[in-house]
Amino acid sequence: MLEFNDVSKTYKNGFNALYTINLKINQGEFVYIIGPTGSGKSTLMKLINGEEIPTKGKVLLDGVDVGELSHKKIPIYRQKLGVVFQDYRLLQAKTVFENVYFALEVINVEKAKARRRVREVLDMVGLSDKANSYPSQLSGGQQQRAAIARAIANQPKLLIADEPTGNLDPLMSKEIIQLLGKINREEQTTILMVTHDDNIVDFYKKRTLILEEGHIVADLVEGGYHSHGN
Amino acid sequence: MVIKILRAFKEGFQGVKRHRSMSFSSASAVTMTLLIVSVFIILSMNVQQIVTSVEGSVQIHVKIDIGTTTDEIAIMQKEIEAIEGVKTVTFSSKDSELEAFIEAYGEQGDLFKMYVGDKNPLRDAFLIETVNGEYIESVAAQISQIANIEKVNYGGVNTLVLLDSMESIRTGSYIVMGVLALLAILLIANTIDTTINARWEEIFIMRTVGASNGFIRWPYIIEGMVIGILGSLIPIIASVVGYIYLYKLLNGYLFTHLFALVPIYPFTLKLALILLVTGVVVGMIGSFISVTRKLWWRR
Repeated sequence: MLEFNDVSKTYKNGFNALYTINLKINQGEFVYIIGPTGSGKSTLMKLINGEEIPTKGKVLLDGVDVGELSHKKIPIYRQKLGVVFQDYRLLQAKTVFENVYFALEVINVEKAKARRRVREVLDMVGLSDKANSYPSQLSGGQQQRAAIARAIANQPKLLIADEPTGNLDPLMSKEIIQLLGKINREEQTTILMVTHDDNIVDFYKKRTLILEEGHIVADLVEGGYHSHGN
Repeated sequence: MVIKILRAFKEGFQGVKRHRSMSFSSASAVTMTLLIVSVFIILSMNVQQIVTSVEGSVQIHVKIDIGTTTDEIAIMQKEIEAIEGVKTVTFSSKDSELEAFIEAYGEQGDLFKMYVGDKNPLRDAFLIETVNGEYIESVAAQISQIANIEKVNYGGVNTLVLLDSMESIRTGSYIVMGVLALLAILLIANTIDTTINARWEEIFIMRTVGASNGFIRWPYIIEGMVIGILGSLIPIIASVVGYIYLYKLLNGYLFTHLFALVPIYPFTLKLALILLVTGVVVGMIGSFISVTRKLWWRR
C-alpha cells in the first residue's frame, strides 16, 4: 500500500536527509523505523504525511503521489491517514472528546454516528472517564492515548507514529505499544512507527527498518534490534 | 451547508470564550481605536455641517429691470436654471422683497410700510442657491449676461475667500478621516494577528488531522467578528450618550445659530452603525489575513 521509489530528500539548507530510498509496506503490517538522531526517520514520516516533498523519486500511498498534492488537497489526503507525534499535538482549547470528535467532523461524519465512534475509540484506548478533561489535565501517557484515539477515529488504513513513546516512562511506553498492537490486530490498521527505544523493539517484535545517515541499512523481519542489529 | 455555518459560529464563539485573555486584549484594542475614530467622526461631521450651512447661507441676489413682463421673467428663470451649478432659483416679486425688507428692519420696518403698493421702489428679484460655493462666481458672471438684469449681487471677494477656506476645511477633514480609518484597520488587524499568532500550532494540528483550509478558517473569521462586536460596544455607548449630552449642553449650536451642530437623530444612529460595521469588518479581515498566513506556514 505504501511505496517509496528512489526517494531522495535534500533540504533547502543543503542538508541531505535521505538517499534513494526504496521501500514497500503491505496492508496490515506493523513496521518499526529505528536509527540515531539525524538519520532521516522524521523526514521519512514527513514525506508520508505530505509535510515535505521529495527532491527526487516518488512516495505513493495507494497509488496517490503524495509529493504532487497541492496545499489545498493535502488535508483531504490526510483524512485517510492517522498521525501520532511525540508531543501529542492535541488541541489545547478542546476536551479529549472534542479532540477526537474533530477528526470526524472534518470528514463530515453524521453527528450521532460520530459521537458513537468517539466513545468507541476512547473506550478502546481506556480514556472513557477522561472524555471531558482538557489535555493539560492529563498525564503524558493519557495525552498520547487521546492522540492515538484521534488518529484512529476515522479508521485510517495507515497509522504513522513519530516517536510516540519519546516523552513517556518505560511502563507507559509498553502500554502505548500494546495499544498500537491491538489497533493493528483489531482494526487491521497498517502501522509505521519511528522510535529509538530498543526496549520497545525487543519487547514487541515486528518488522524493523534501520536507518543510518539517510540510508536503509537493514530491513529485519520480526527481529529485535539487538539480536540482529549492529 | 447550514450545519457547516452553524458549526463555524459555534466554534467561533467557543474560541472567544476559551481564549478569554487573548480575546479581551484584542477587543480592547478595537475599543481604543474605535473611540478615537468616533471622536474624529463627530468632529468632522460637525465641521462639515457648519461648512455646509455657511455655504448655504450665501445666495446670489438678482434684481430684474423695471417693466420686464411676466413672460420674460419666466423665460429668464428657465435660462438661469439651465446654468451649471445652479441648485434652486426662487422668484421673489417686489412686494415680497419689500415684506422681507420690512421684516429685516424689525420694529423700525413699519416706517417702510408707506411704500406698500404702487409706490414700491424695489425690483422683482431672483434668489439663487448654487450646488456649492465653488459655483458662486461663475454663476453670477453668467447671469449678468442675461437680458433685463439690473444687478447681480453675492457679497463679492470676501464671500469667495470664506467659501474657499470652508472648502479646505472640508477636504482636510476627509483626509484626516481616511488616514485614521486606515490606522484603525492596521492596528486592529495587528492585534488580532498577535492573538492568533499564539495559535500557529493549533492551526497546524488541524491541518494534520485533515481539516481543509476553509474548515479551519471560518471559525477564526467568526471569532474576529465577535471580537469586533465586543470591542465596538463601549465606543458605541460612549459616543451616543456623549454626543446627546454635549448636544443638549450646547443647545444644539456652537456660538451662533449659523454654526448649528448635527442633530442627534439620525446622526447617532448612523454613528453607532458605522462603529459596529467597522469593528466587525476589520475584525473579520484581520482574522482572515492572519489565519491565511498561518495556513501556508507548512504544507
